[in-house]
Parts: sequence; structure tokens; C-alpha cells
Amino acid sequence: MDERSRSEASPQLLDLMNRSEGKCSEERKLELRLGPPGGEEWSHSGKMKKSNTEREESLLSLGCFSHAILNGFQSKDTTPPWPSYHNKASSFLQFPSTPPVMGKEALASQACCPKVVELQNNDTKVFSPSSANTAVSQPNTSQKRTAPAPVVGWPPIRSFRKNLASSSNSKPPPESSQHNEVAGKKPVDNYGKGLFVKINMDGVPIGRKVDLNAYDSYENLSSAVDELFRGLLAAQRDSSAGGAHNKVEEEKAITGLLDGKGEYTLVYEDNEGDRMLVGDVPWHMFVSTVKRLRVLKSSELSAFTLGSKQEKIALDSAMK
Amino acid sequence: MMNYFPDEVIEHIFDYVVSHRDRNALSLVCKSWYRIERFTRQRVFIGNCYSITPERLIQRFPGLKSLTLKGKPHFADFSLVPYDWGGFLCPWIEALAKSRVGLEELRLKRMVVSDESLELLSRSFTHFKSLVLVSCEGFTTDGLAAIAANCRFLRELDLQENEVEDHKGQWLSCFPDSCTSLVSLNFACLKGEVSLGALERLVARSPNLKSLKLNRSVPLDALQRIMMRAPQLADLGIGSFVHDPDSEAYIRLKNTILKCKSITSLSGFLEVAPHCLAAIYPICPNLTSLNLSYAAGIQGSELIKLIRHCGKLQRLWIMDCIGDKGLGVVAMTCKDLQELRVFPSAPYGNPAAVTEKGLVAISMGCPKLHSLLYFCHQMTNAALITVAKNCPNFIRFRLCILEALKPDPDTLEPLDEGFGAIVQSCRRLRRLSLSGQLTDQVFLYIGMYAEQLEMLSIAFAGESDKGMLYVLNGCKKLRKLEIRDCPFGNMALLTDVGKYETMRSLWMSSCEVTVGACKLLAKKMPRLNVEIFNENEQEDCSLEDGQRVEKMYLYRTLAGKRKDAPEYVWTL
Repeated sequence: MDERSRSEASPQLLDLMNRSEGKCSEERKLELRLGPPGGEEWSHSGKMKKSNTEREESLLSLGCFSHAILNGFQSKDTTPPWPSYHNKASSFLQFPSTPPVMGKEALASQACCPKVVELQNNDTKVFSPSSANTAVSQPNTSQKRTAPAPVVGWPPIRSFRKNLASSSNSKPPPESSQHNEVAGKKPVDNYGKGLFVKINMDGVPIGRKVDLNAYDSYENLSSAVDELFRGLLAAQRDSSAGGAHNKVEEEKAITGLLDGKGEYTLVYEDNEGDRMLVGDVPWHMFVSTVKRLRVLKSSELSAFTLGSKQEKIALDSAMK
Repeated sequence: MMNYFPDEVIEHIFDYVVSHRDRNALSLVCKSWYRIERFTRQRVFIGNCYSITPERLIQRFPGLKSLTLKGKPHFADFSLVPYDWGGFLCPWIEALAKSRVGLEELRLKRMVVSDESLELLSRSFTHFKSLVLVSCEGFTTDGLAAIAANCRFLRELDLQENEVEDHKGQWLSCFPDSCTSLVSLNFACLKGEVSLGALERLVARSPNLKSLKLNRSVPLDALQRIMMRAPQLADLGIGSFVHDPDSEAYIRLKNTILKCKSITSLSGFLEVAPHCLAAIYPICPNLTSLNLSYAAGIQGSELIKLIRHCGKLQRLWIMDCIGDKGLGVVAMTCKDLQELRVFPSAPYGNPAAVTEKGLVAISMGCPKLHSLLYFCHQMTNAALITVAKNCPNFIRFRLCILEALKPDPDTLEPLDEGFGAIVQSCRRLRRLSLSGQLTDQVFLYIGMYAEQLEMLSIAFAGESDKGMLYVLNGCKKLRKLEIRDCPFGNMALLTDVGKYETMRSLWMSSCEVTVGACKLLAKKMPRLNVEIFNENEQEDCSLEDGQRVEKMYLYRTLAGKRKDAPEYVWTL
């Protein structure tokens, strides 16, 4: 049944191959002419020999292939017709520069078709260097083909689900909130990954909330914190100074939150209850573990204020 | 031989033929079968509401009782279709209301539904029984109030993931006291409050209520009272599950739950305090379906504890905080698992969440698995090859590697071989979604092996037109093809234009197709609507042939060019 149906499929596929095979040498001539001098050769030489056998093995170890299809590989395009994407920098792709090492053993052992042996004999003739494009030149071409970030509609999750984390921050019934606060559990309105997190600043009695999803980097968060608290901080200084002196207290920018050089430093409490310095982990990792933020005076920041909960409880009282 | 039977006999035989495809096949046999079939047809499925006019539908099937309509293309779920593109219910309801059709059931997906339509629906069909709205928008709780108030024999009101504006009108209280026929009520997606008293009374007077899904505003004590009145419930969606575990209410709930032995399907937990979960452990052994994909408040360890009690699960929807280890527990516990969906818990996923290891574990423990939706951080060819070997029964295989273009992290190869193994092994595969780094090779495999494939979703994949051609050429049963950000261009689009009439629709966005090619296609194929979305702000944007098309959606239709398209949609 399988055999029959596959042979039904391949004639049409064969047609496709043949059409392009006819153009094959023409296309290839064109490609070589259009490419940068020596450019085409460069992408294939040296890697060709290695990739040849690797390519064979990968195809063969996957299983049952008909001649026709293997023939078809010869005519594959060697350059991607996607020039506009070349050399675009990508924040998406973290691609290593070393060529891939083919897991020969791994693939060979996964052979799922008993016909591998037969095909091997036939196909050593079929293969020619020109089919070497795929496996190895892949990384080069794909490296150049990139997706500019941020991308609309990626990952493909319904907006209904994307809003879940933020919408789960609604008020629970009164009894439970008391219970949670008493037990010292994480703040009640932070079910889920907490896109809206509280942020408090030393010296400012009123806290704020920030939506971490509105930012994509520590720099943006840092400037947002500056904006949020600049005015409040100035007002505090104003009132503490008696208010009589300067009605117009200059609002000083809050800088150096991330590098320890400013008057204040940004720290956060993570999902394990530990207090951590902001900026160590990749942004998305930070977003998924942060529970609340604090802006501390750098002078009070010592090795002791960062670390586990036990230390923190002792220090909280000390700091206050 | 059949022609010598009187019509009544043939009709009786046709009663046993239920599926849409079989029915469609019957109608093609001969003229008299066409005639008999059309008068006896009660259920009609229209996968694209623009493929046919309501008038034509009504004319052919005057005995219509149940209608399913789908509107916007699938990628509308991911904000790729601009607002007000279309998919309006209104003309359908108006046409049906004017006719003599005794509509009883309406199921809609991705359509724009107005309150006026709902009102008209509620008033026009005396025997209306069932309304199911999935991923729809455009209506408010006022529309729901009309349904509640006017549909005297309503059995089912099922709202799944709709955008509904809350008008605080106490829609639930609009069910009259005489309404006792409810079998299924799902309002989990509503954001506003409902009258708890009205809800409890409604449940109390609905002895046939089998499925009830509450929204977030229904607190735990109300849940307990409701469950007391409906011990016959089989399918429960919990809204809020937050309570002090030492309180009276919670203890009452635990006892009530013990009495609800018929619950086999559980979902919701839109708001949850994890320490309350122990209350549902007693019903877990009976569950065949568990949907915790909205329960952002449950951490991985609690999920795992819960799953250990669920030995009979066939369907599991969960978030990726369960982790690879947790999936290992699922694999050991849920031997009957058929459908699994793992959703990302944060927009870019949790780096420690699920990888290929979890999927391999599942494939080893759950050989009956046939439907998968898996969001993960990485995938390897070796893992996919193993999964393909372990689970040859896949019907739906949707894999989303969160980082686009990511290769196999072990070998740095594209994932062609892995997906190739899947299509080669799973001969019954009907739906496939690809991700990760992929070359034209994977499409060659798909074209060769995926003979039953009906729907294919592609993003950031392929290298040349050949990729798309392999698919169009090889997949004879292809109905829906949706492509974004792939280097497929005019050659791929135009090589086999006849193919598109065998399909429902084709979506291509951010590819290499030009306006000229689309125009040519539209000219060659008059029974296709070729729509181009031109979202530029410029006023004088004329469509130049050489211009690249940002978004194109084409579909076969008997209705001709549609008249309700917004300005930015150009039907060529």
C-alpha cells in the first residue's frame, strides 16, 4: 500500500524535478555569473567533500527514498533567492560561526526503514558535488535569512492567552488576601508571572507599579523608573527640607541604576523570595522570575542586602 | 438499483449518513440523489463564510437546522488580520430570518457578531437550541441578555475565548423562570460579574445541566452552592478557586466535591490559590479531560502533584511551567493520553520550561497520542525522529519553537529530518505546523509523505519557491495553507493555479509575492477571491505590479467579490 501510493506521488514530483533539471545547468551558470567573484566557489569548496558523504548518510539513514527524489537533489538551487534578507542583523538568531557537525551516528542509528542498505549501493553513483548545497551551506544562508525583531504575531499565541498573566492580577475575596499576607506568601495580586510588579523606592512612601511587558530591555526599564520616581523623589526632598526654601526644587534625574555608579540601585525580588541585583540575567528570564522591584540607596547596598530570605528578614529590620 | 426505491426509502437510508463529507459525496451521485439529499440535509458546515451567499445556502437546503460558519483566516488569532476585515454574521441572520428555515443550532468561529444580530437571532427562531461562539467579537452582554430572554428552549450557550464587552446588564438574570432546558452553559471568557443568586437559581432549575463553565467573578463559596445543586455535572469550569483552607466554606466545598462523581472534565482555575488544589484530588481519578491552560497561578510542582492523581486523562491542556520533569510524570501517569497541549507561560517562555526531552518522554509513555500542540524552547531532530517512531498515530502535530529559525541545538542542523520523520511515520497526519530552522528539504518530505495532510502552517521556513511547490504538488488533500515570512514568490504562486480551487484558502504574508502575480492569478481564476491587504497610510497608493505584497489571502468562492470589504482590502 505504501509503495503504491508513494509511486503515485513521485511521478508528479518527478515532473517537477525534470522541469527544473532542464534549467539546472542554465540556472547554475546564471548563479555563478551573478554571484560575487569567487563567492559561489567559496561557499562550496572545502566544505563540499565533507558534506557530500554527510549528506548521503543523512538521506539514507532517514529511510526509504526513491531514485527520482535523489536525482532531484542535484538540481537544487544553491543560492537562496532572498537577497533582501542577507546580512541583516538579527536579535533572534544566535547562530554559531562554526560549521555544523553532523551527528552521523545519531542519524544512522535512527534509520527507520530496512531499505537503507539497497539504496546505499545505488545512490553513491547518483550523488555529485552539486548536491552538497543543503546541509552545510544551510547555516550560511540561514544566518543571513533572519527575522527582524520584534515580530508581530510571534509566537503564535491567541491574544486571549497573552493577556492571561496580566488579567490574573485581579482582587481575590477578602479572606484569602488576609491569609496570604499573614503567611508571608508572595503578594496576592501577583498570580502568574506578574507583568505588573510593584516598585518601591527608598525615601518615597508611595509605591508604583510597572508593566514589564512594556519594556524589552534593562535600559528602558531604568529610564522608566527614573520617570516614575523623579518627581516623587523631588517632592519628598522638598517636604523634608521644610518646603519653605525652594518652591521649585529641581528634579534630578535618577541615573546609574544598573551599574552601581548612581545614587540609587535597582534590585528585585524573584520567585524564590531572594533579593537580586537587576541586570545579571537575560531580559526575558528576568521578566519571568521577577516578583517586585526596589530602588535602593547605593550606599546601603552591601553584600548583606542581597541573598536569601533568612538574611533579608534580619536586615529588613536593620535597614528600617 | 437504488433508483427503483421510492424517495422515502432513500431518505431513510440517508438519515444514517451523517458526516458532511459523506453527505456531500451523496449529493454528487446523480440528480435525484442531489435532490433528495438537499431536502433532507439538516446540518451544514461552511468553512469560509465568503465562499457562498446565505441566500444560495438557504435555497439549496431549506430543511437546515444546524449551521456552522467560520469567518476570519486562522492567522487572525495572532493579530495578522487587520481590524474589521470582515466575517460579519449579520447578513446570514438576516437572510435566515427572512426565510422559512427553522434554525436550531448556530456555531461560529472567528466571526464578528453584533448585539443586533444576536437579538434578531433570538427572536426569529422559536426552536433555537444551541449557540456556540468561538473566538468571536463585536458583541456585548446585552446581546447575551437577548438570547437568554428570548430563546425559550435554549439548551446550549457556549462562549469560548470571545471578546465580549461587559455592559453590566445582568444578562444571566434574563433567563426566565420557565427556562429549564439548559444542558450546557459556558461564560468563562466574560470579564464582568454575574448575579450569583440568579446563577444558582438557574442551575437549580436545570436538571439536564451537564456542562457549566464559570468566569472569574464566581467565587469559591458560590461554586460550592452551585455544585450542591448540580451533582449530575460532567464538565466543570471553575472560575475563582481562592480560599482560606481552614474556612468553613472550603471544608464544605471539599465535601461537596466528593459527591460529584460524574465530573469527567475540568477546566478554568482562572484565579487560583495553589493550596486549595488538594480539594479536587478526589475527582481527579475520574477525569478524562483537564484544561489548566488558563491557570497562570499554579506552579509546576503543584501541577505535578495534581497530575499524579489523573490516571484516566485523555486530554490535557497545560502550561509549560510543568517542565520536562512534569511531562515525565504525565507520561508515567496518563497512559490513555490522546491530546496534549503545552502553552507558554510567559510571552517568551520560561527558559527552564519544556524542551525536546519532555516531548520524548510523552511519546514513550503515551502511544495513543494523536493530537499535539507544543510550545517549547528547543527541539532536536533526534527527538522528533524518536517521537515519530513512538507515536505513529498523529493526526495533528503542531510544534512551535519559540525562537524563530532556531536549529537543532545539538547538531546545529535544520529540523528538516525531524519533521520528515514525523510525516513519514504518521500516515494519517491531517494537520501540521512547522517551526525552527527549515530548508526546502522539509517541504520535499511533506510533499512526498503527507498524503492526508489538510492544513499546513509555515513560518520563517524554506529557501526557495521549490519548497512551496513540493507541498502544492504533493499534498493532494491540502485544504488550508498558511504561510508567513518565507521566501516563496511568484513562481510558487503561479505554477499550479488550478490547485487553489481544490483548497479552501491560501494565506501568504511577508513572502516574495508581487502584486502583478496576484493580479494574474485573479485573472486566470475567476472563482477565486484574491485579496491583498494594503495597510499603508498613503492616500495615493496605487498597486504597482512589481510591488511586493505584504498580506495576501485567497479563497475559492461561488459568491464573487464580497461587498463588505474595508478600504484596505483590494480584491483583484
